[in-house]
Amino acid sequence: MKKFKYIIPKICLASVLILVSWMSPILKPDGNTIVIIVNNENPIADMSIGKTKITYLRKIKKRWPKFKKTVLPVDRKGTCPAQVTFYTKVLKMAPQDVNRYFVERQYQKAEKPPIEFNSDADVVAYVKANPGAIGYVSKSASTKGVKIVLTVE
Amino acid sequence: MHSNRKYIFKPCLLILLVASLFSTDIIGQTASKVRINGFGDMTYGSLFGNRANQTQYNLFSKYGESSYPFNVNKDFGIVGTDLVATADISDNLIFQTEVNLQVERGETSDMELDVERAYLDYQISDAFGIQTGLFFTPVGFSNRNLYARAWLMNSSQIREVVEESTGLVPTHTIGINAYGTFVSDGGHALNYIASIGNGRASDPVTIFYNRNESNFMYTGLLEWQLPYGDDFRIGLSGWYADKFGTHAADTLGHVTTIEEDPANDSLALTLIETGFNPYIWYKGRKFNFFVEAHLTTVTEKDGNVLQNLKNKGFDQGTGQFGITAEFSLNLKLKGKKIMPFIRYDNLEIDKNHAYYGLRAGEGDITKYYVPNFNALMFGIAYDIKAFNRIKIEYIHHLDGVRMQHGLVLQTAFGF
Repeated sequence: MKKFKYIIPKICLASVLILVSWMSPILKPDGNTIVIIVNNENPIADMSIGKTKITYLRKIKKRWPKFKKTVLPVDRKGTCPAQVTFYTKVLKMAPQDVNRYFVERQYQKAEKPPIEFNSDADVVAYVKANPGAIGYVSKSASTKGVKIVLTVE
Repeated sequence: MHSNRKYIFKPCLLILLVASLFSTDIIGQTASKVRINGFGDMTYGSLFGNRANQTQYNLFSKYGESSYPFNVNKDFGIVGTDLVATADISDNLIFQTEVNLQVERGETSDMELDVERAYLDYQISDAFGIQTGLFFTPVGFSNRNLYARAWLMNSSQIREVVEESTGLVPTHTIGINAYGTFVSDGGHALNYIASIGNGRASDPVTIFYNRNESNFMYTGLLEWQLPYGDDFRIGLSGWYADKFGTHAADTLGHVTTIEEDPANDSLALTLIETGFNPYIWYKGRKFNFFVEAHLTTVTEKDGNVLQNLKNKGFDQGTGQFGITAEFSLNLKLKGKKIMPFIRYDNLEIDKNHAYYGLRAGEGDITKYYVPNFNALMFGIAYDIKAFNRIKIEYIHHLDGVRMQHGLVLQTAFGF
């Protein structure tokens, strides 16, 4: 009986450890993989990295093709893993270059800079509410009510 | 800077203040209706050596508009500090105004405050939008995009040709313009701007409130945007300033009195100005280059005043030519951008030009000597922060009235 007294907690502890290690990919915030999201009304089905960059930066056009809504880029406030992935792999620009770019565009084209939010949930909520919006969130974030057009690892 | 513009800075400041009251926050917030941006600089320059061209300097000393040439970085100065307010009236209707504060780029350190832009922008689609108000004349690249924005430039030297105090090209327009973009599947784009505005006045620096003449100026710009590098554009623009009246002065220093005097009627001129600006702008990962030229001519319409003066032995120039070429590298120092650059500027104006040297006074017009500009510049621009660029630059004047050597230090910022 005394032996069981020590064995049962050990088994429980081992089970918890196994369960945690098994679930770790689910629980770990996956900031390295992001998804590009647009509003559900936007007819665009998917986008390439190059197309996303040109659209987000409004390099050529201010409006979505076949949709006629003004492109509204959405960014994260402050550095986060999702932003690092987006800047590095999609925009291929350093953070200071992104900041400079959007300030220059305000002088030259009177364009609005990206709207910034503190969390993935806020980004999703904004994209859901604004037909022209385009943003990025971690793959693990809930994207209910918006359309995923690209996954970037 | 033309004094007429100073009268409109108060209403624009008022607009800025009122707009600020309605603004709930500054940049980047959802609730914002007005965005405030700006840029500025502090510059220190030192000049040394002999005059690049003593003969021209002697002419300038005798017949120059001021005792010191415009656009020289000497001692402490502010090249251009601007506040830009953008009001988002609706999704596709925007009002933007830009107020400029700067040290006079001539012989004094007087501060000036004036309005660079104040226009309403209505964009119907990517292919068609309209702007109306005061805007940068759509000629060339540097007039619309760089101008005196030190934070966006590698060199601290403003292009002489877009220095509005000289009036060599019409830098600003009050009127209306249409603009748009057509995009091909391959990522190429064709941008256009066409504008109509108040035309040239009796002297070239009176750009803004010229209503004495019922003449207009027509401008067109076509720009091919290529999908290479970060930003690659090839453009051609031109303008046509329809018949505008002025008076001829036969020689430098000549003052023509404008009164109802039959003797002076013989010097009344009706001119037409045409100009062309081709340019190439490339901004890449490893290097950048920029070339822009301009060529302008004035011709006399339905008259022989200039020809008669020529027949009497008075030279009357009618053209000017200028070119800028700059090459820079994009390097990194401690993870930040550092850009060594080299630039060459050349501007040549006929000494006794029939129009560009004219300055209107109270009831008279005087002909001044407008100096050439010919210089080689090189230096380093370093982005110590995202919104702060410092520069060190050497300028060597090859010709013209400036001293041969100049050294410039500048800290430029944007926000």
